[in-house]
Amino acid sequence: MKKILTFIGKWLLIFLVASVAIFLLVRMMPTSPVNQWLSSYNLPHTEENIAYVTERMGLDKPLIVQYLSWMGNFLRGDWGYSLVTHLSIKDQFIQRLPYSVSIGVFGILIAAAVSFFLGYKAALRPGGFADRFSSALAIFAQSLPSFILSVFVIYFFSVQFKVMKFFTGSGAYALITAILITALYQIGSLSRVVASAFREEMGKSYVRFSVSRGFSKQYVLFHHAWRPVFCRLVSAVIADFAWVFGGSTVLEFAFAIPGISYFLVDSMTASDYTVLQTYILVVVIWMFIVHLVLNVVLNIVDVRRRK
Amino acid sequence: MSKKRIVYFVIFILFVAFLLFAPRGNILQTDVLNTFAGSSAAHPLGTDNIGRDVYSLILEGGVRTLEVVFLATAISFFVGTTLGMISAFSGKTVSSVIQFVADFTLIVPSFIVAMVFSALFGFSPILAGVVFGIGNMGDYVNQAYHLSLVLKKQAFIDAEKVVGLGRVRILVFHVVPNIYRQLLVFLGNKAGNVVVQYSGLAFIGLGTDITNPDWGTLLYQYRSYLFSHPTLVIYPALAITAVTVFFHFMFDNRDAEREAVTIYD
Amino acid sequence: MKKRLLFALLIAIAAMLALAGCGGASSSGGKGGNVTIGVTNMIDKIDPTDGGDPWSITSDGISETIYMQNKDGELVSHLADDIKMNQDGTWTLTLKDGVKFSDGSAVDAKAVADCMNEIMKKNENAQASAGVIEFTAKDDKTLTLKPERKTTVMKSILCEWTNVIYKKDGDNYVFTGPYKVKSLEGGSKLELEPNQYYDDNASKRPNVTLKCFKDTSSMQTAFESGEIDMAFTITAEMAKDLQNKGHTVNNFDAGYQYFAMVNTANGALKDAKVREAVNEAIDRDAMVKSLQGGRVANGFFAQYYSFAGNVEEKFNADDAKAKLAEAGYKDTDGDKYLDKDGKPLTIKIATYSYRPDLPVIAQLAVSDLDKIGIKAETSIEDNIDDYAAEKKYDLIFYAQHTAPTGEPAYALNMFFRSDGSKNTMGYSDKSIDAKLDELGKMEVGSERDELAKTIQSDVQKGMPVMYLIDPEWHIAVSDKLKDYKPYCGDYYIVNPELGL
Repeated sequence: MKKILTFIGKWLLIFLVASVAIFLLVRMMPTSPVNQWLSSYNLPHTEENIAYVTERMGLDKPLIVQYLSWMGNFLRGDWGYSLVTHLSIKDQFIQRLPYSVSIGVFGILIAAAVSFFLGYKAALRPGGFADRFSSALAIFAQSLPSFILSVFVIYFFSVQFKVMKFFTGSGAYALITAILITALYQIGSLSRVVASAFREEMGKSYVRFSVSRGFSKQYVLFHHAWRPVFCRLVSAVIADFAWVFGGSTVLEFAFAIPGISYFLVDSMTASDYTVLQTYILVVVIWMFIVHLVLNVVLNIVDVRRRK
Repeated sequence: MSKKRIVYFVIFILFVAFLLFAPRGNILQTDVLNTFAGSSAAHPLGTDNIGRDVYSLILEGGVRTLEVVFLATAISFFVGTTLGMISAFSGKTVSSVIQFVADFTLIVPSFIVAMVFSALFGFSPILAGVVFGIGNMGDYVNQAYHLSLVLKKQAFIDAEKVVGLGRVRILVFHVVPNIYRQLLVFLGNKAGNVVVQYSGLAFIGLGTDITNPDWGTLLYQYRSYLFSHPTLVIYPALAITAVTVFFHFMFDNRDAEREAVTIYD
Repeated sequence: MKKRLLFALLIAIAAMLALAGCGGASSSGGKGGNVTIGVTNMIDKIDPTDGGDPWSITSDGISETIYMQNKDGELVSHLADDIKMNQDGTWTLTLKDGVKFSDGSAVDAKAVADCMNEIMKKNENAQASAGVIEFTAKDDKTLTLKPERKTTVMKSILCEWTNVIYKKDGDNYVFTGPYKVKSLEGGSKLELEPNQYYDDNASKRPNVTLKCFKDTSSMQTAFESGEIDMAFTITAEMAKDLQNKGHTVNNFDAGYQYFAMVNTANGALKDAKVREAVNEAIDRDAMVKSLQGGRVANGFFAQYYSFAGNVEEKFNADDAKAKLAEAGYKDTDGDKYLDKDGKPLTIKIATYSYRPDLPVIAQLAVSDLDKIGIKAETSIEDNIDDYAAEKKYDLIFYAQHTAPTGEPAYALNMFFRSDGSKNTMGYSDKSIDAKLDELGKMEVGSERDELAKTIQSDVQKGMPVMYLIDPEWHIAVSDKLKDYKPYCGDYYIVNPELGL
């Protein structure tokens, strides 16, 4: 019970610090929202106009009042409007998040599943195919930006063989390919994590004991050692989930998928920082959910933790 | 250091020296009459879409790329490990604050940080290095924290505490020597990633210097020639791969691992 | 354990199939078939009174301004018969018979007055040229237009992108363009169908889908695979590549001009001699060659306009060097770069990537300057107008459609008047201001054109901008659109001739 309370407390704190930090940061930005708003309506930046809009946006009030009203609105579900497109930010997020989240979440889940097998095989036979293959994948992911691979994939499947339509139609191919590429870029490093975790377990006495009693190494690893390895994998994956948001950007651009990063980059280049404020809060909430879910998973799998 | 590692290290030094000191042409010089040229004496790797010498671009770009990689890696490695160790060996409050910072750097996508910073300070390679350095720091903090924690539980550290050695002394002389190898492996696996992250910024349209491109920016600029003039993509890609492979094997401890596993094979 | 993993994989696969299955319904074609166009920018919503939206919806063939440019840069109207100036400075606009909105209702004087008065109130940019213009319906077909400030170019003002004709239909808007909206996924995909009330050709027009690409190389592949029938626009190298592969590439006059804004108030280019040297050192022919089309600019406007300038820009690197020496720059420290009073001659060049040609010509210019010993620092700015307003640059490579309303005064005032809204160059010349005043009072005709030409060559002497390129843009088109040629840059991407 105490654990749950600390967990929630920690995240409340993260949320608070993050919101204050981003709130102050946005106010440090060189382009003021007032000027941005005026520009978006093609209004001249006269002193009168600036004063009027400043008052209307409530930017003349003390910072603490501004912060509280912003937070209050956010929590009540009123996320405001984009300064540039004048559309509801919340609607935009609701429309676009499913794309980004499915690229990230499915990509990572697939990667985790494949990595578990690949890492297991790699641990069993060091220097064998699985071992070398996973190393090669890890190096590959760090050497070739995903946009090059995307150009390659798009070209082959749509121009060369004409089997997929990435940009017209339902857009399913684009999404699935983006998911698979995301997975591919994670498999290398994740399977290294799994492999080294398995190897660590192999060195432990309980495994050696079972093997010496005549159980096959494979049997012992798969039936007993999987729990700690799985926990290591989950911890590694937690960090990757943060990457879901930023990491899908390049693929969203390459496959013209209207996800959230697409929207954010557009807003940022137009110096619309109201969107950025909301975005950071949503990222924090997302990470809270990820940690919550994965901690529950860890608690189910890891016997020691339950005590 | 094993012999193999020394060999890697020497090759890497030579590689860097080559990037820094090899004779090269002027990368600013364009030549619209001689675009997409093949290899020749004047242009060993040919020319690009506006007639620039690709060989010189790769050399100059390499220097820029490695600057960012070194800066980013140095920041995440030194700051990250220090924080991680401190976190493992200090009280609950300090520890949670550090963990919190680490989590936070992991949560906020680095390209967002890059965009925010570039709006504030203007974009530069140094800035990119700092951003990725901070962005990747969280992983190092966690690694160092977990490794130190394991060590902390071991008897000899307790003994040292009893003997009355100062905390800093224990960290520097007893913890660091015991964890640095594993951390370097981690570094070797992560360092190359910075190049790819950096190129991602160019791809989403964040201002990189087009007349002084790094390898990632070259890849970005040449991506549409992947099929019409593939060498333009292949050269920078090979260069990046080379650096990644160097880092990977220079710090790899697979031999040690293999020993550990083969004991009962 | 195996079971668990299998289960996880199954979930993943099932989820993917579900994703693949949904939304598979493709739209069935109209009589004119289907056409898909790749573009690099797209509206988020349709609101003719908001910001830059009216520009986009006109470009997409949904709305119209009362007057619009044709291929030759002349002003024509699908809606109006005639417009005349009255003695007292008001204007009388007569509408055509039988023009209808896309819902079949008539475009009458009242409808025009309603929407134009709303735009004048809501979009301050509509007031830039003649202040608020009051529209009053006299009868069904005639209107009186009363501008706040007198103007001689009402036709052009009615061609400004803010002034689109629309009618409110509940929460939606209906327009008069050749197409109407079927569906819009903001910033990503726009589906259009022919407006059956536009003209007799309506039934022959295709259904049009616009798809937005953030990455032009993705757009190129989409075109090569046949997914899109037109890529608007592609870079010179892509054009060449596609032509080599046997695809059709059409070039057209952009109307946009590429020029360099010069900071005449600060930095090295404050010295007129250095400005001249830099101007002479730039090899514009090389730029034209690299862009695979277009011409060396001879003024501030595209050459098809009657008021296009007759300035001749000469490339002469040796003379440039001589001028720099006159200005006191020498290479005293032997680093191949010039310096003066111990300070190197460095020029800060900025541009932006939204027009992909600009970084290319900026790179060529850097190379040219390097050859005569000027060190150039380049940067790509995300928000070039904000950057320009800070006035810390030496040169900005910029692209602008300088005659979007078929009229020269608009852009000349914006850039060259002492207090012009885009004059970040610190340029101020009383005689130019006086000439601009005069230009504002003259009626459209050859005399006015001549004065516009004079202003362009006079401005070239003070050099707040360096005229560079009058470019051509390239589009890739499938057989369906083989003969399609847009005009006026990206102002009318979807024009009434599309697919006919």
